[in-house]
Amino acid sequence: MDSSNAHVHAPTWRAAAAGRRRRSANRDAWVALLFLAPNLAGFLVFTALPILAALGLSFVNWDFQLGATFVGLDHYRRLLFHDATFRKVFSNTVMYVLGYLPLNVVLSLGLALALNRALRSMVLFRTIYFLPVMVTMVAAALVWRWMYDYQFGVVNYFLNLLGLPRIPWLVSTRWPIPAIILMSVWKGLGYNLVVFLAGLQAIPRYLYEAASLDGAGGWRRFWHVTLPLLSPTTFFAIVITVITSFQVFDQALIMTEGGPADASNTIVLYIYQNAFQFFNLSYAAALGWILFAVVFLFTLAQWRMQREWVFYE
Amino acid sequence: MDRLYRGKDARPAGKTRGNVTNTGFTRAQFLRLAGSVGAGMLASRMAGPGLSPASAAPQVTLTWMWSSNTANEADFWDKLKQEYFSKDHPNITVSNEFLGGGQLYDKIQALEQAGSGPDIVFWQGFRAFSWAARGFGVNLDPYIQRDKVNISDFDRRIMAMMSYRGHVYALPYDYGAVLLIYNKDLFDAESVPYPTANWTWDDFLHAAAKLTKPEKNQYGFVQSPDFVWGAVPFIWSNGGDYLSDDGRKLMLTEPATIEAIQWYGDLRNKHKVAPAVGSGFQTWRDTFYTGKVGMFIDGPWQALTLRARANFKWDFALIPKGKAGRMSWIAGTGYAISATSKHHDEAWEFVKAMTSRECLTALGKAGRGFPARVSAQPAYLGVHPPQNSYVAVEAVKQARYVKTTATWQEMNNLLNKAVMDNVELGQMSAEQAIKNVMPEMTALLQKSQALSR
Repeated sequence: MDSSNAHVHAPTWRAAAAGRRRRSANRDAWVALLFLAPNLAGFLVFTALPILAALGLSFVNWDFQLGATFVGLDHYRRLLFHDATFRKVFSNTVMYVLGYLPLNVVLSLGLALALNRALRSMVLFRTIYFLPVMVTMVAAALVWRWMYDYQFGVVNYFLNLLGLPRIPWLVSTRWPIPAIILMSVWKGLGYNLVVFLAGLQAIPRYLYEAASLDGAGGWRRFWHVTLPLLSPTTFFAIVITVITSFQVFDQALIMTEGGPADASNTIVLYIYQNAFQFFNLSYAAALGWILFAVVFLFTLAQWRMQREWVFYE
Repeated sequence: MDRLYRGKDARPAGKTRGNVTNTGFTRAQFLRLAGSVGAGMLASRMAGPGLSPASAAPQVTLTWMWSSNTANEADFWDKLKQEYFSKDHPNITVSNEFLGGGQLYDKIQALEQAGSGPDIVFWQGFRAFSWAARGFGVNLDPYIQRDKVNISDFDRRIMAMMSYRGHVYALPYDYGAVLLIYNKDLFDAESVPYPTANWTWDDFLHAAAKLTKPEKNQYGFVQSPDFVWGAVPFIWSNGGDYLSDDGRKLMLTEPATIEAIQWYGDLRNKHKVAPAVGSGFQTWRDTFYTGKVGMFIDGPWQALTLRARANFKWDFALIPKGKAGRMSWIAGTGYAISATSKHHDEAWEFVKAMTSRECLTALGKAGRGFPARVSAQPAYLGVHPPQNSYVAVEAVKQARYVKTTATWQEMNNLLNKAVMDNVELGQMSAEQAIKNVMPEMTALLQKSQALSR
């Protein structure tokens, strides 16, 4: 009875087990979704929805008082072909990225190589270089604004001591962007430094030993071992730095308010002015989407190019 | 950031930003929510038997979004509120939302557009027209008539600035005409006689030149790079203007206007009596506080900060006379009720109490502002320094209020960056710079007219 029973029920039992597995897989998915829900809801409500709303807003002309009228691509046409200020802020921002990116990456990599030693004092140096990252940008910008002061600033004071002429850092149309680049390098160096240090420490020691045995000197070890194995880290650092540097804003807002004569106005500052000061919300939305497109294209190009130089172990 | 932030209540941000009571959007909304929930609970409890209707006034919480840059200042406003409002209105809780510098205006605009403005708004003169045109405020005329507020006690020019199409949208607490503020120690050190009421532009320039010692990093005058702050007193004193009285026509191309802007810019790049200051937040004001500058132009509202920050002797004088006489500008700030507020009546009680003669007398005594009520002004004059505090009264006698438009922030920003910066840097003549901005200025004026039609 028992055995025949078992025999008869075997397929049913197997089917039931499979059902339980399916059900439990389903349940896992639900549980996962439940855990993700707060984050997902936050993303949908506070990120995805506003982004889409901004896209919609960029096709209308919306002023608080006059209401909304559909204008199609007018905003985009105006800002790409007729807005001299946009051309100015765009070129300022690109100049900033072109200056800031190489300086930041080369310096932070160089420092990471210098600090990647098992010495106790290195901890101190790492802390020192990381400290500016912890400082609020606004506070830092307020201090640098005074350091860059033409008459009373400490930077020109030292230039003077060295017998060099004073530089009109924030009071000319040529120098504000270089001034903002230098300040931002000081401020942001520590972040990439930490990223590179982590990358360096992940490179296996035996590779260096093998290279040494093969007679490779310091320079060749760097060129043939360190650089290729660090390339995923470098890739990450460059992508992130490009994205964040296109968003340069606080420094310009506090140090120069974009001036003089828009010499240091940036894309995000221009968005901010339009949205929050000039009541041109829909124009600001179009500007935001242009910035997104630019950053997206840059990132896509880097992604495509990574197979040329990024070496994954 | 546009330079309107160098508005009268914007204090130097460098040292004080850390003390700003920045409570944020969410807190405002949370408090309002908490307030209404609290009010509901209280109301249901009070609805019980045995309570007279008078004591059943529902508990209401108002948000008061205000400018304050230091802990001291926040303290001052809070005490003023306790003394002149909260004591007599136990059923109304006013929650402070104090913010510093320019963030305040951007935040108010964002909140108003989102339909969740603070109940009581910091109604700043330069923005008053543009905010009223966008429907941010509440017409106070019915309240003023009902409660018989003596409007004639307020200076009529600041009332004009607080009004839109003949209706009052805010009751002002302070105002003032810009003055020449000078560093007495520097004048003494260089043996230059102090400014007098008879000073002309030439006298001013002459004194500025004598005070200027580039090798000592010392200058006669520091310019505000802002169009209103810097150029307008000179444009008016020269007989020019930037906007017609009815606000419908730009007057920038008038020869007297161009001449005055050029003269102002030449102070830096031709006569070299003014240092090159950046366009960053408050830089020009901070430069005066270094003690290395002889004069600058600012309003009587600056007295409180001068007392606290200037480690040199200073005083007030009238701005120099131009060829059309002396014409200073007036601006000020008032208390307004947000159109999005759900408690207009309670908010009005606050506005009324905080602009009462008693309250404005206390404000004047503290030096926080030159009271908008004429009857409260003697209080301001009793506090020294400045030795010549009466100049604040003299100055408003020869002054007009700053006319603005519904697109004024954008216009002001354009004038700053395309005219003031270029002329001060010596990159362009005032005539050329004005010519360049006219098409855009005209378009902005048309937009303003469409908005305020």
